[in-house]
Amino acid sequence: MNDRATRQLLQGTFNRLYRPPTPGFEARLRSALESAPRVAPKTNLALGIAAAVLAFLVVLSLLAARLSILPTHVPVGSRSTPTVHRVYQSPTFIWSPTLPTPSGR
Amino acid sequence: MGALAASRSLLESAVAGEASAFATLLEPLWDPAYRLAFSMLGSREAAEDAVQEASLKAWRGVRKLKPNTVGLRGWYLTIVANQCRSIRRGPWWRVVRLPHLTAGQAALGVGLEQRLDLESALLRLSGDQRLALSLFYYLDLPIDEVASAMRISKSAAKSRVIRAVRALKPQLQQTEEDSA
Repeated sequence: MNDRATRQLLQGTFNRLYRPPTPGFEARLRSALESAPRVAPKTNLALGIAAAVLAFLVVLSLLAARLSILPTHVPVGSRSTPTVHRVYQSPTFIWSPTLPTPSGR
Repeated sequence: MGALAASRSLLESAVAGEASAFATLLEPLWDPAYRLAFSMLGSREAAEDAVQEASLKAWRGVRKLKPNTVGLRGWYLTIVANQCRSIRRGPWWRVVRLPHLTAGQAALGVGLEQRLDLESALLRLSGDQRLALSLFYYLDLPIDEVASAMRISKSAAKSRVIRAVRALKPQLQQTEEDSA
């Protein structure tokens, strides 16, 4: 089978499968080109970066929780207001020899 | 010579940012670009989308062209082919509909079955093989332009065309014998 016959057969096959574009395709293409911005929109890139940063933070926090390196106790107050540290005072217990012993002697 | 000068001045205007000059330059290439996209994707809507997206990408990239560029055909068809490739290997949820072959679509007559066999064998080829056949046999491009559109060497383009024809050989022979 020579190249010319192959070319004819394949061209015929491609032509049979071909469907023309919808009417007005070239006009739509021209107007899309004429109204297109010269620079590529950066929206997708910005969204991608934001999603990657968010995913990184989520993974980091999960890892930190898993390794227990996050503080489990958050002190009362914030950086702007001074924190009041409450000192725990145990009740004073004074032993007196006049007090009866538990056995009553 | 006049046509060359005109196309060079259009290219200069396009590089300077004149979209209508760029559209005028691309206009003769829209038909081959659509044919290429249709042969790759098998759907009218997908082919139109691919050509439109490729044209917008070309418009954004026209500034990178060298000032002594003579023809845009190879460069533009490369962008179209890449766009079709990226649509074909798009996300798994996207469905590219291939044409359904029916008896009404194909010409009735002797050899219908063989022709349908050849058509379905052509549609079963890999994307790159179909691209090689489409560029070389359908759009009638020389092998060096086929190579540049596929971003491969000339010898690789030749061997890809040969391998694609070999894959279709049984159907091609059957169809040729039948029509002889």
